[in-house]
Amino acid sequence: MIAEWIVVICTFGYLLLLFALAWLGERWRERGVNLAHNPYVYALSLSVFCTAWTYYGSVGRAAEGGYDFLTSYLGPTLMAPLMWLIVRKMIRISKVEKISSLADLISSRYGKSITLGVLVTVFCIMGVLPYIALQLKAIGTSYQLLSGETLYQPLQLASFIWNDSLFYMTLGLAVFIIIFGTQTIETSGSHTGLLTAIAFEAIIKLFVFLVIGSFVSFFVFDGFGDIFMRIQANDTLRPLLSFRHNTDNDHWLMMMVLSMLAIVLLPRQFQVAVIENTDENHLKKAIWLFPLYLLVINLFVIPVAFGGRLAYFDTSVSGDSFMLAFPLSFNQRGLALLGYIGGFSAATSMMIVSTFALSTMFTNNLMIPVLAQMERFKGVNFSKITIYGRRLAILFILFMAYLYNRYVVSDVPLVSIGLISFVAVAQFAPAALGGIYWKGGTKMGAIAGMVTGFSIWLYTLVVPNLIATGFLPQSILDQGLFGWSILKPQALLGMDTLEPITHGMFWSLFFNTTCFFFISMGSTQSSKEWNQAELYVDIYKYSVDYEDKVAWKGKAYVSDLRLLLQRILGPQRTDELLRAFTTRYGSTWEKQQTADSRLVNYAERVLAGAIGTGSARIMISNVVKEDEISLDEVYSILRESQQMMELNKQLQTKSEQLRKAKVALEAANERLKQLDEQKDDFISTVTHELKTPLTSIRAFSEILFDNDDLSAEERSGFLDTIVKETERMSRLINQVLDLEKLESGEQRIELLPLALDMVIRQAIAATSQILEGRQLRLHLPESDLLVTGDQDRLLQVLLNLISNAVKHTDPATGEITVSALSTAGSWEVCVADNGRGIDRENQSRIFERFFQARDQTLKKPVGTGLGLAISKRIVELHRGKIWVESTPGKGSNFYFRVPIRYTIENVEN
Amino acid sequence: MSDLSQQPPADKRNQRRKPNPQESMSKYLLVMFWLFFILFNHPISSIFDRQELFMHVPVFVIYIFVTWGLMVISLVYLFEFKRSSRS
Repeated sequence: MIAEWIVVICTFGYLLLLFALAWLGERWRERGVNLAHNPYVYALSLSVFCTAWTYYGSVGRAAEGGYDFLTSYLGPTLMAPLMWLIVRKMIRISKVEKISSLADLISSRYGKSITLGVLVTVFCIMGVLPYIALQLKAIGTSYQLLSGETLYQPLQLASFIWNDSLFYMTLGLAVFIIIFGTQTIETSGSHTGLLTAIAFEAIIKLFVFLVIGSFVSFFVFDGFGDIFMRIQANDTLRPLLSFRHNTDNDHWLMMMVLSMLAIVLLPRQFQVAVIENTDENHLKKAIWLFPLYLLVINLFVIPVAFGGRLAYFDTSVSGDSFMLAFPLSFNQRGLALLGYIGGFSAATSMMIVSTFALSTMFTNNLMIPVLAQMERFKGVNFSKITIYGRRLAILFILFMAYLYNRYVVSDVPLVSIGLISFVAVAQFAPAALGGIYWKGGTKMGAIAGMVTGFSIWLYTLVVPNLIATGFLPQSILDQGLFGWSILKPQALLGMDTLEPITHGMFWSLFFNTTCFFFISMGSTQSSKEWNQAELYVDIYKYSVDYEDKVAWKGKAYVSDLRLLLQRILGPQRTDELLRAFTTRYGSTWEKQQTADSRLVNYAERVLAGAIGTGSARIMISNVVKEDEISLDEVYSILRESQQMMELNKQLQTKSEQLRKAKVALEAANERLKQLDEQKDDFISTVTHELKTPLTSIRAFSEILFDNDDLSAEERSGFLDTIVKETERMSRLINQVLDLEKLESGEQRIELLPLALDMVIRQAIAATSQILEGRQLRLHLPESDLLVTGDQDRLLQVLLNLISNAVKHTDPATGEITVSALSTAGSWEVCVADNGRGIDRENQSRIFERFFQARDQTLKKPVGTGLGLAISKRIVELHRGKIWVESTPGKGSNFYFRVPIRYTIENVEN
Repeated sequence: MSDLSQQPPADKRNQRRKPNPQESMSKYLLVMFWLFFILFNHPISSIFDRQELFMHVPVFVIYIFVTWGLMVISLVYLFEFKRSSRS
């Protein structure tokens, strides 16, 4: 329908465009604009998940009546939130340990095991090669369809490889990957050109899918509604609308879990999501952009598939080719070519990244570990060998995929090959995910789990395909291996209720996980494994100053290490890297002959970035004399670094405590100053108070001394004053001492059960002498006023209050009332008088020391001014309260309250 | 000083009061995963499994795509607008 040469020109034109874009990407990076360091490019590169399988296969699957194609996209969408936990941890581990591939991640976790690296690499190639072949099949089929005579007569396959356009397309891709993927030996974050091309392809495939989808939905049909209503009207096609007619729930669930694992563990996804990541924060964009991309690219799948079923009802056009069949049927050649390019871009982006990731695994985990152990390769420049090894691997993988497509893949639908591949990579899940979250996983466990899982995968999923193509006898499928029915590949152990893919996935993952956990629990880790397990699981704790955390003991020469680095990375890069080391840890290493563990770990790490962790281990062990390190030593090194962090934390806590203590001390100092001032104030008041009587004593004494002619009456009057002033002085001194004792705590009150009414009566009796005509009334309840208190002290309070009332009332009209009443849990005593009262502003100050003395409004001091202060202190020591209520001119009521605390029964007991 | 030494360290007290933003983010993400995992699977999905059309589109297709869209919106909210993700 379209001349073959036009299709060929378009294909190679598109490939040239990719070359140009990748080249531009590299040029921009040299000028300082790194497209690979962009969150959107990162998010778009994740869409390498959408291959020709998405482009053609999803439509094919939906057309056959399965909504289950959606699980391949719902799984990754569900995984998106978990990517922040799992993929971010993998990125951190990969940056810290300079991981170069999935094989490296797993082998490094289990003590940099070469065996595991080789196993993962071989399994990856086995699992992914058919998937790459599948992309070639899709390109080939679309090419044949486009160049064929009619829709029902596709172009025939060329009989020789060199006549086959597909062969040259494959070669073109290989050249592209070699140019933009193997420029430098280092594996991470340096493939800007490659990523630019992948991001471009992501946009192209989405755009073309939307264009063709819109064409089918809105040009061929009259919108979505038209398609679905026609399907509903058709009795044969109506069941397509229902989920349960086509898919069962187990299958749906298993497929979803499978694609969740695939989005993390497929080598190409690991490459773009983990290895090519330049900033963990780019994940934040990718986590929502990627599911959005998947949602949009799937919008038209169902309409195109159902539309195809309506348009090509009862014809031989398969669902896989609907995307091209529509434009071709409607003679839209340009659109058909565009559709072909969309499919081509989906296929090539997957092939580029997968082949590149597999070639890195091949050199770093298979080739170099083998070569480095051979005598012949000691001292050889590995830099060139690695790069050429990678290039050869790329050619080899793509050529194998080409052959696989040409001779093995026959009429197997696109979807099933893809799913078999998914199940293969899911076998890495226990070792990889278990490795980063469980310290107990051992090398033996990982090997056992993976080997078992892969064997079951081979037997349940690959063997039936080989039987279908005639490589193996049909009897295995029908009767089971050796005629044992429990060994039927698609009904293992008699389980015949599941679909083949679900069946293979279930058994392989079940035995894989079981072996991994049980054998891990039954085997022990070497010190190296233990060290790596600790670093992997607690990577966020160790990711700073990594070189200090790897336990190492032995002897190495600086010159040997330098030589080794130069052999692999070249002299210029070696100098750069060692300069970086000096900037970080100082230059003392340059002056020493032997290298310390930090330099050795650093060298191993930068080598790992180029040739993988397992290979780097071998290289390093070739030049250093390493001693076996005990588990205790590993433990103590890690413990030390943890202790350092712990100490640091404690220091911070201590300094915070010190800061608080300083604040508390400042406050205490302030309080002390205040107290000091109060003390000065107190002393000056006391001296002043003492000075007044002293002055009058001295004055009267001098008069008596100087005047002999005084009458006996006058003499006796003066002497009387002297005696009174002396009494006042000694009373003052006693009260000062009393107050001081109470406040310092020297004078303690003795709390004993007592009857307060008795104390009140005692006080009244003692003051009856000074009433001088004033009325004194007593109002007490009939019951006993039982309280807990110090009898003498409470008596002192009452005497004080009553004598104060006496002092401030007029002898002729004075009335004093003492009453008591019960309040909640205490007795309240009131001493009321009808004296001149106290001003409102003085009511709160009246209990201060010497208040009266300082009160200049009073004409003449009538006491020491300490009585109320002492009373207040005594009541407070009883946990009680004292206060005054007064109306100036009408009298004052002094109240105090003492808690009861004891019941009558208590007292009797 | 004796009182001070008996108090828990300041950082522990702070942790109790305010959870680490990374930790609370992880909780949100795990809850979100479980919620949508349940929504996309049997038996919830079976509620919408009918041969009827709603606005001319199969009910099951509408359900899956709307839930999918909601999940994307929740992710946008968590990673672009929620404060803890920016800290």
